[in-house]
Amino acid sequence: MANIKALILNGEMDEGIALSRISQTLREALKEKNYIVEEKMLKEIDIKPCMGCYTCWIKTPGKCIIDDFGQELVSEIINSQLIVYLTPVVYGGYSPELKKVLDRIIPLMLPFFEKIKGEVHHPKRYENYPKVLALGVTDKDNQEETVIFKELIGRNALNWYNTFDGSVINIRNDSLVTAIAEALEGRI
Amino acid sequence: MIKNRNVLLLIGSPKKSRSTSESMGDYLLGVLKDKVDWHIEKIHILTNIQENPDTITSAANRSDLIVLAFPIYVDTLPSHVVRTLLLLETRLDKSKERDLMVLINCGFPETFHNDNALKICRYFAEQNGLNWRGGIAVGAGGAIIGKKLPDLGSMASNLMKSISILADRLIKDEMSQDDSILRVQVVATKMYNMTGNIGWQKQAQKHGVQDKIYDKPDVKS
Repeated sequence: MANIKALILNGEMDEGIALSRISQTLREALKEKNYIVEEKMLKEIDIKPCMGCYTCWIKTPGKCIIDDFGQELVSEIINSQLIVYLTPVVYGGYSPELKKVLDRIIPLMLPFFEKIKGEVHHPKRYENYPKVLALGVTDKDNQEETVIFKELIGRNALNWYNTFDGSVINIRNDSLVTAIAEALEGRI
Repeated sequence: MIKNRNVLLLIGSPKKSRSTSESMGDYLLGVLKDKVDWHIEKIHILTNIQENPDTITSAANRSDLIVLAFPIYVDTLPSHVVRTLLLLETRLDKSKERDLMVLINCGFPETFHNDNALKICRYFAEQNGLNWRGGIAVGAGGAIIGKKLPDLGSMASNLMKSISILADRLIKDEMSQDDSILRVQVVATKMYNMTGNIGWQKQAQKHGVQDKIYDKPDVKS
């Protein structure tokens, strides 16, 4: 297995949990599985918020008109085989640093409404989508946050056209190497 | 009945005007203005969150009630709304009692697409000592397209009734219960899908890209 690209979207924030150790462990684990790994530290990249203008659907189909790195990142995402969302768990959701990227991925879908498995979603624009692994990181023993985070993964999975899975790693309780190995096991 | 409250409406849509979030927020403020003489402030989050975050935090600290109105982006809160919650967590004066209510709308017809965002907002409230006042979860929010709700006629009648119920709860100081989220689907699913899909085609046609609407510009060979 060669040339399989994994893109880590690192949603570390200026305040709160540092993700450098966990990201290093993750990179090493992915390389062992023959992935070519690239990582984006999103807080260092200026990506403007989605403006909700739908230009990417009705004027420039498939392309966002905001001329910043967000455009390039969306292209990188659809051309990767694996995307890893690495994020502190923020009230049970993603960090704003990660979310600013996810808000910009709607050009990857078509605008139309279609019932899929009994719910309305947007149909796929592309033939193939990368697998997604969402890893939430917390230092709290708070089950409520974890439950909300896993529910979000479940909702995102319904709007994505490939495997979309993930878990929450508690850096106070879990061994990083073991936690990463468990998170990857059977998912990539 | 509560007298003399300070209400802050935070608009979480990125659109500076004519957003569904603002339409719902304005209707709530209008009902409150008609029934009680509360002091009201309205702030567009995205205009302020980066350059003038103090505008948001100062108004939030003056308020007794924060009404957060926003659209669902990719199944949950938009990034700038999450950023606002983090800002409030660090800068709110938590010695003062304060309520949080949400007005959430999603572009899919079913209201359950709002559920993750509702849970996140409720959890935020619990963690930061805010009284959770529930709110409203709207499906088919795209049908409102930023119009004033009374101008939408019967399509918005259930939504206006529900917002009025929320306003009455606030005025009578009725705390919300677990089931206090009012759910309103503005347009029936089949109708919304059909008119929405025709609408996307028409808009693409208007911009001369009807033949490109299925393009795959980012495929690398």
